[in-house]
Amino acid sequence: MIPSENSLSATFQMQRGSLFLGVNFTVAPGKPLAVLGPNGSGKSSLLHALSGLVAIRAGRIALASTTLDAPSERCFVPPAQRRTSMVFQDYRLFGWLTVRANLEFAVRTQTRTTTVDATDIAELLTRFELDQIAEQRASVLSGGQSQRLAIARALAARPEMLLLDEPFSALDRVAGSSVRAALGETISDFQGPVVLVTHDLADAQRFCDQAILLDRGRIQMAGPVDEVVKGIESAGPLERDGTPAG
Amino acid sequence: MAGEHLMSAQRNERTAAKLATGARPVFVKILAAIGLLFLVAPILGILSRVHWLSLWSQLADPAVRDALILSAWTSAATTIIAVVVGVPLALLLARGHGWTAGFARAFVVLPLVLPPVVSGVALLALLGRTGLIGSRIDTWFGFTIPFTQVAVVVAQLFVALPFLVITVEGALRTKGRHLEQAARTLGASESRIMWSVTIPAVRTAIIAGAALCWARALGEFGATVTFAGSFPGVTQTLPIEVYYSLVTQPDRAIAISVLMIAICVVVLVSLRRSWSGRFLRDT
Repeated sequence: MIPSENSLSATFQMQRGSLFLGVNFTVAPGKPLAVLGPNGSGKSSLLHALSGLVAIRAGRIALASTTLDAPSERCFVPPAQRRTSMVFQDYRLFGWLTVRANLEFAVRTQTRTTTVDATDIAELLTRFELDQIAEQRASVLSGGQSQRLAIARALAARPEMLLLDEPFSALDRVAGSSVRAALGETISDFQGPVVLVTHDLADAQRFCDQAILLDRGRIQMAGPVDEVVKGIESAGPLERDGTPAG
Repeated sequence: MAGEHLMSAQRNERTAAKLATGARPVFVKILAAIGLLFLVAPILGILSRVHWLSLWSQLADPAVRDALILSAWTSAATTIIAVVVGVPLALLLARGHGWTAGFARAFVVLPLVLPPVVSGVALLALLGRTGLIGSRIDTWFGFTIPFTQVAVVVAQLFVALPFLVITVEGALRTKGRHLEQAARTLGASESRIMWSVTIPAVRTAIIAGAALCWARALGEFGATVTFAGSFPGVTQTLPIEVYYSLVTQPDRAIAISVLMIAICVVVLVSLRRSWSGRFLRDT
């Protein structure tokens, strides 16, 4: 695959606890990557490295022509300067702020270049069906509302790359479908690379073009998402959620 | 099947709820009752000895009033200083790794387990007229800290600061870290994260820690009496006043004790919301 101009390219090794993670992949805009694998395989560590919440030990992470982390070049861009928004499984909203203030927080972090734009926030509130609850405190929202707000907040920061860490796994079926609908649009409109960590093969196929399967910190399979999913399903005793049985 | 019938015949809202939750074994209940009684009985003991009619006149005594005023402002000053230096200390400790943080944490916990009188001796050794720093303060400024009202605050701060630091640090570890990560990926600067995310996220713990710190400062006896002495009207705080009146005027000691219990109960009740509901729900 020839990486396009604004691709994410990542070839790195890192250590986290007892896990040694070594990966190599590229994500082009418009070709979201699904990261599959059992618990403890290094999926979340991979996202933490991309976002800059953890430094890698060797290798290189670059977005377009900008190096984000490269120990050999003594280069490390801190997370706040990476323009990489992350959506977490547990939402991580600022519970004491209103829905609107949560979005304003993310918009205002970009004020180096722009002022708080009320239309931006209004547009996000409408798009994620949060306009009715804009003045409520984030701590009282339902799971589905919380995750829709988390996605809206991630976009409010005007990221160049979007990282999603199991965004549906804390949600029930009904809430999950509302968030899936919102996320589907978000991903297809998004201009930069998208990485979705999930244990759900159906979600991987729904939202992503390519996939990697991680196991104990190593890439076991990589390629177009349908092939990887087929590979996982034919590999034997795997449960539907992508975790090995037993 | 007879047993099943019996159960359903006895069923009502309360028994059903009890059966659903399950009950602890009887010996646990007995031991628990002894434990609780041990905590409640002394308070009842004090209340049984109060002369309610003369209570007000006991408390209106100038000596008691002086002690009350002294305790009020010193414990308030201690709490304010504790928040100002304790929250930053907790912020660093919660982030700290390695031996320096471990070392610092050990020293934060030390005053909790140290006998207060030893804390007083340690403060004298440092700040006394011949102490490590105290002797210099004496020569340069002609001021000696021990046995002054400054010493009362210093003694209270030494024993009470750990309560604030430990409470806030615990909250930072459980709640602060994840929200800080989210804020960081959204592009917030470190100072903005601290003021707009970290501190609001643990604000209830700061209030709870400040309350514990204040209560400890208000009740401080051993370190205060060692380092600040017990000069009526100067360094004689409420607990010291209680101790000295116990021999000569037991009624007054009881009256002040009741006053202190009342103050603490009022503070505890008004802060209960911080500990229970909001503390867990907010973030």
